[in-house]
Amino acid sequence: MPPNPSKIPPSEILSLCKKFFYIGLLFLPWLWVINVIYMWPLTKHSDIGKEIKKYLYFSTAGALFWLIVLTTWYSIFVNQRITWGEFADKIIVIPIRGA
Amino acid sequence: MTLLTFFGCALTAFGPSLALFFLTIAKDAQLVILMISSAFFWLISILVASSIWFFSKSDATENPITILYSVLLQELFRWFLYKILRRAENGLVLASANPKSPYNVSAFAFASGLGFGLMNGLVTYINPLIISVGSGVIMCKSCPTLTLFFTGAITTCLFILLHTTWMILAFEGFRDPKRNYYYIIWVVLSHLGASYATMSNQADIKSGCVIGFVINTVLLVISIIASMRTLKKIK
Amino acid sequence: MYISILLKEILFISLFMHLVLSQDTEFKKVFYKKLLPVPCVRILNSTSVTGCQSLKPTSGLLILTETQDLLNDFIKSDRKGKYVVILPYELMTNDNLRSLESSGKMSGVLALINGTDPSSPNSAPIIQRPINFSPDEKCPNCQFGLYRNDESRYIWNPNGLGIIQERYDFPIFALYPFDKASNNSYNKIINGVQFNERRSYERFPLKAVEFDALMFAAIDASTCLRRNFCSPVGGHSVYSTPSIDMNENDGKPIIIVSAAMDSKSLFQGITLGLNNGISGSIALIAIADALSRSPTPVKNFQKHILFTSFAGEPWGFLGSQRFVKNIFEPFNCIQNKTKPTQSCGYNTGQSGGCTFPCFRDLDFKRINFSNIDSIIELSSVANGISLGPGNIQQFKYFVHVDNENNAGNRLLMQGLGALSGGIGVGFVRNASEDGVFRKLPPSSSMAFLEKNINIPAVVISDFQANLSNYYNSEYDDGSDLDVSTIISSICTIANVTSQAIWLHAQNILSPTSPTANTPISVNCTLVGLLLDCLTVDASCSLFDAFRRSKDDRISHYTGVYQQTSQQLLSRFHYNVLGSINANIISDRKCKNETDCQFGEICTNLHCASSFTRYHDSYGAGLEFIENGDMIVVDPEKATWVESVWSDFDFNLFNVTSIGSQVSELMTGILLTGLSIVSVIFGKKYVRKTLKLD
Repeated sequence: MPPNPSKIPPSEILSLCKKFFYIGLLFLPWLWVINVIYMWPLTKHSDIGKEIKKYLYFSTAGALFWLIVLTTWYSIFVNQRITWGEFADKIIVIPIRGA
Repeated sequence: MTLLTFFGCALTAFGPSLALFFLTIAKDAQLVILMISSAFFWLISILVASSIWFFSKSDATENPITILYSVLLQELFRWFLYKILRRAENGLVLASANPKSPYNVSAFAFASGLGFGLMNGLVTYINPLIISVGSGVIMCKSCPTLTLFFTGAITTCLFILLHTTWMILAFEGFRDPKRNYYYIIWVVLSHLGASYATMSNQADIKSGCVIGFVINTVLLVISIIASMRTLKKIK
Repeated sequence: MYISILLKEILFISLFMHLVLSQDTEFKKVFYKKLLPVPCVRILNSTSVTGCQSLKPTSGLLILTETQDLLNDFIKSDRKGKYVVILPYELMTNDNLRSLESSGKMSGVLALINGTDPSSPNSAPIIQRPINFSPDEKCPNCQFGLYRNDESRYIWNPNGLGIIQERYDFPIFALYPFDKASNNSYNKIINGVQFNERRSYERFPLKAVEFDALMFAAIDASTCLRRNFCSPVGGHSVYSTPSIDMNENDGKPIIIVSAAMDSKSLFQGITLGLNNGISGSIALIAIADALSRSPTPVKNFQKHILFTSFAGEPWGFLGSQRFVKNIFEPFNCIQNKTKPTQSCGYNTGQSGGCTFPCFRDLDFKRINFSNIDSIIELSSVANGISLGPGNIQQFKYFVHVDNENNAGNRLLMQGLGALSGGIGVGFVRNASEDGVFRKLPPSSSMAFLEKNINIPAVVISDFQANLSNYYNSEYDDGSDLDVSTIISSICTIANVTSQAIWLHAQNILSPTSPTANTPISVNCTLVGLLLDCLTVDASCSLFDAFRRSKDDRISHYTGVYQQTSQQLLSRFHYNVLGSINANIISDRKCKNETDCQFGEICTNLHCASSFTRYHDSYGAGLEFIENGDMIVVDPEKATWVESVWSDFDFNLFNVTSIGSQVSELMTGILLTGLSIVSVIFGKKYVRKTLKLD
């Protein structure tokens, strides 16, 4: 699954990892998760291992942050939707029928 | 709670054939493509059969004549499929995973048969399968303890496997029609027999569905044994 | 190139599959039988939610609990699975429904209102009709009425079960066979129950039904109005007067003759309200007709006579409160665009109306509230006949007033009494003759007295102490009375009332008015025709303009308010009263009202001028704002809105036991497992015997 350092130059792999991280900043936490899963075996590489590890730690932190934020928002919204009345109706795209 | 029924019937109908597919054919891309092409051929045959039915405007829902011409059309297209594969055979063997193996043609036959069968199963059974998700059921007339969904699942399972074996036997027959004509006759007759046997499901015979299943299973066993024999003959 | 062929093949296959899959409805129809019982819907107000709801389609096995004991047994039993309970309507108390809900065994209720037992040879009814039954409250609409701030209010409906005001989060449908389609549904369901009973609920497959009745509205009226998931309950009241030139400055006193035109019950589709609803308005039409045949035209009398037929009274006096509000408060037209706009669909330039607030015409301003002389209201009057001593049929009606000491009230009571054969001995009596002062029952007059408590107002009814036994229930269909009795009852009271009005409008009503001097009599044939039209056969001649099919029984539920379109009942009253009070018949021909000018009615195929108008009726606590939306402005007043829904679905089908479903699943799993194992071994075997590498 991870890119093969014997077929692709390590510097390119590193730059790919960096790209994944930076593009993930555009509200794409799944890209960070994929970054971690895809590149993790390469952290043991001699040249680029340390750099990749740094970026993967950032990606994990970012993904965790998104997880916490979205879960919190979801639980707040689901419980408070009715008490928020008009504001909640404004931010819902498809009106909820029957509740 | 008839998600239970849905998964039960889906697994019963497609489980064995999909197990067959994933464990034998899925690894070989060429065989997968062959399978899809043969499915396509079956689809054409049923399209022609349903056009005939549509224009004949017959009123009876279960007409033996319908079964007759649809079976014959399927066999006809089986023959078309064989002709086309025969032409492409050399190229296909060259492109196969193991070009030197003498069993390539049998593998092609096996994959085509599975394709035929899966398409048959899909088209005839997917409708009741989806409806089985709902709460309502309809009981089989001859076996009132079983639902129509379940009897249909068993029939589908047997038919997919039957089609697989028929393709192997039919290819053997088409290869040398003068000497191996009995293979072709067996395929046509057992296809007709199996199809007519399913009519007993909805008939007013007591435990009629069991008769149908037994007949189909017997035909399946005989066909499997015959296919194994043909494979053994190849050197 | 091979790839493109492959792709085309896949495309073809998927198209074919799509075709195959889209045919599922035909197959489904074979074993899902779609039926048509009547649902109970969600109705909301400013603070709460009432009615029934099914958030997701629910299904259950059919079971019938004929008596309270059987119901208790069912609730306490340890049956597994979900059931749809067929409950005789008499047992639908709030307690029973809540116990069923908490037992966890019920997924829906079918209310058995009437119907015959299919297994009985002489079509005996399957349940006994209760002697009295009312799903309404014990003090109906008292929170909107004149006495809402009194410490102790008189309980007019002690039999009231109050289930109309309750909120049920499960579906309740009604079984009430009255025509071919409903008979078909009813028979299938009852046969299904008997099928299940024969199999003792043990031998599957058994019959089950599924409800699908999602109501969109939730939480309260302002929320659902904001989301556009509900519409206001209401319609169009009709007022009509022969005084074509009435205006607010003519100084002539006005006698208001009023009645409620519609009714209410738990199941809107089968609301008939024969006694409580229609009988009063039939009497009103009969009175108008009688007075129109007065030898001296009534429009020349000293007092105007204004007939008002209010819509939506059972829902918190929607019609009367809004009518009084509009004629009492000074009216300011904020905006008049003279053309139909998106929020006001009337051509206000043509009819002299106003765009905001939206009114088709402003002729209600010609009614001067301070000129109102008295109010005579017809309540339920179909059951005025009872068996007196010696089994002789006698009539008896009662007059209710707010204040016995009001001189105007006394005059009206005594006049009516005298005309009916003598004060205290005739067939029209004071309701308080037994010494109990109950004040007014829930009535339209309350809205008027709210603004001026001294207006003389009498409410005439066939009951004295309690509202009729089937008040606001589906049983108010007159089947416990003889048709000729009903006609006779309505006719008799309408006769006396019309005479009283005739005399009163000339200031000559007195406690000693003899009947010989009043050349007014009600046409009882007309009463019979109206009754027939409104209850049994909506294809009667009076409905010609609306052309409905025969055997079409119209529901008398108020319905929802729609700005420019009137309900059938409103149009009926408009046309009938309009023709009766038509002034000058022109020689312009017409087929229906749209062929004539505004302010004219099409009667006898000719246009005629008539002071007959519609008046909006919807909750007094609701108002339209400028962009056409509706908001709650006063939560204390009536704010009833009805939920929006998409199609109902109700199906009957067979189900198998959970056990057999589980065994199907196990078979599938086993078969698949077995085949995986066989394939693995088979591969090994084939490799060995064919000596592959």
